[in-house]
Amino acid sequence: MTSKEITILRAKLYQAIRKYFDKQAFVEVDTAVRLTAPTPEDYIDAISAEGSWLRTSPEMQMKKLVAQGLDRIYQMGPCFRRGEFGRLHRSEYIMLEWYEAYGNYQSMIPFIADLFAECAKSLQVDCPSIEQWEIYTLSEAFLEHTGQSAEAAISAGKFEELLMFKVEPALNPEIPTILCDYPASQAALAKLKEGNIEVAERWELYWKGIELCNVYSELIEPVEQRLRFEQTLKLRAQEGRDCYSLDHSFLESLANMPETAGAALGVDRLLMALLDLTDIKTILPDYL
Amino acid sequence: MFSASDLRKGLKVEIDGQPWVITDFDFMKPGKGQAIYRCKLKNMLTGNTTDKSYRSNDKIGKPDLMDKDYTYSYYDGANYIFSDDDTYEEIEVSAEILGNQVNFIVENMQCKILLFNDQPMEVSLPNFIEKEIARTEPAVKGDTATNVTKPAYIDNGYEIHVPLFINEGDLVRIDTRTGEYADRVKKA
Repeated sequence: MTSKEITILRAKLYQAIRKYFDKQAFVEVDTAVRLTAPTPEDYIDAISAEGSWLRTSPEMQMKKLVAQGLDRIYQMGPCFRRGEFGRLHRSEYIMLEWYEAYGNYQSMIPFIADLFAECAKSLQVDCPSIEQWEIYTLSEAFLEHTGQSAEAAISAGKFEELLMFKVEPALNPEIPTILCDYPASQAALAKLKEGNIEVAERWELYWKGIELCNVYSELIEPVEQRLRFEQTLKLRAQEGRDCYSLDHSFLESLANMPETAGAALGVDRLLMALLDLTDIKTILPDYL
Repeated sequence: MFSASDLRKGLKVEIDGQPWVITDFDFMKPGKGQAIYRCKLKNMLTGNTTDKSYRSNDKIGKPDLMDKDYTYSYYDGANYIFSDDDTYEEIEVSAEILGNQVNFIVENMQCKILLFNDQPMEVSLPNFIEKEIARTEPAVKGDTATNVTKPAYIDNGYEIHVPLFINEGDLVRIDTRTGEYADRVKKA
């Protein structure tokens, strides 16, 4: 495929995404790209920009809008993460992020299956229907493919290696597969699962061997969220990495937020998966 | 020391006192997890290969490697002797390190030698050398197929595969990196 063909397919994908969200009565929003206080995450680093930071995701800014009463919103735009460069990574990439008030991480599964069906249709490619999708808890997947629990892997400092070298390669690449209920320590802004606070209401979607989409039931407890941010900033300080100031208006806004589901999807990676491409460099526009 | 973010294909690193070159590299990272820098490495002394994964905070050794200009002097019956272009100091290089290149080296040839802790590791000859074909069969008349080659021998008996139009006495260019025929040198 030539770069020109890819550019046209990318535009078709954007159209399909916007059409789908429009049909689902979502409002497209724009939030700031340059932030004074980016989201504190254990292992996501922001790029500095003249005294402020480029957003690593629009999460906090979009949740503030949900708290103001915008129940169904989406945004598609660039996000930036320092030091990420590989077969599936670039420091600048296009993120699709959306929030649905009164939804939860379960209700997002049929929603995203429909989104994928629309996207596949627009590019005239196949995508398995939701009946064929596979769903496992992360703990099932770890026990089956690594012989140990995800919690044991985290304690041993081997979580990422085992996930990427043992669990992910064992998933069927042709079938969209959801790994759900991540250990609580792996979900900074997600709500803990009702009835089992060892895990968070979070899932990740894989297809064609690519991690495509992260979904939470959002944490809406300001005190708990502040505590988690402070722990994250403490860890970052201990490891000598950049520490950001807290976005207090975000923490305050959480008190006004209804139960909400949120999702973040890498659009470049979705295009790769739909076109059966394995290296992100093949689908990037010239400016990235 | 290198940090994990310096890692890339082709970088030379030191692990347990030995020099390794990264032959394949990928940055991997689950959404919220720590980055893993996955490397395939080749030991520059033994040729052994291995896989290694690093994390962001890891430090990786920097090998004491130096590329220096040398001139080939003579073969002492056991080793090949080169002299340092700046200091005229002599260095011994074994046939094993030279490998296939022993077939192309001639006195006074300008070379680069990669040193690890002052020990020779790799010798780079000029990329192309010119040699006369000492022996080859004449082409069979009528055989005009393209991409057909025949064996030919240079003065020291080294065999290369050349196109059918090459005759004994022709001067050819050989790529010292692959040891293969490159093209015919036009006669003046």
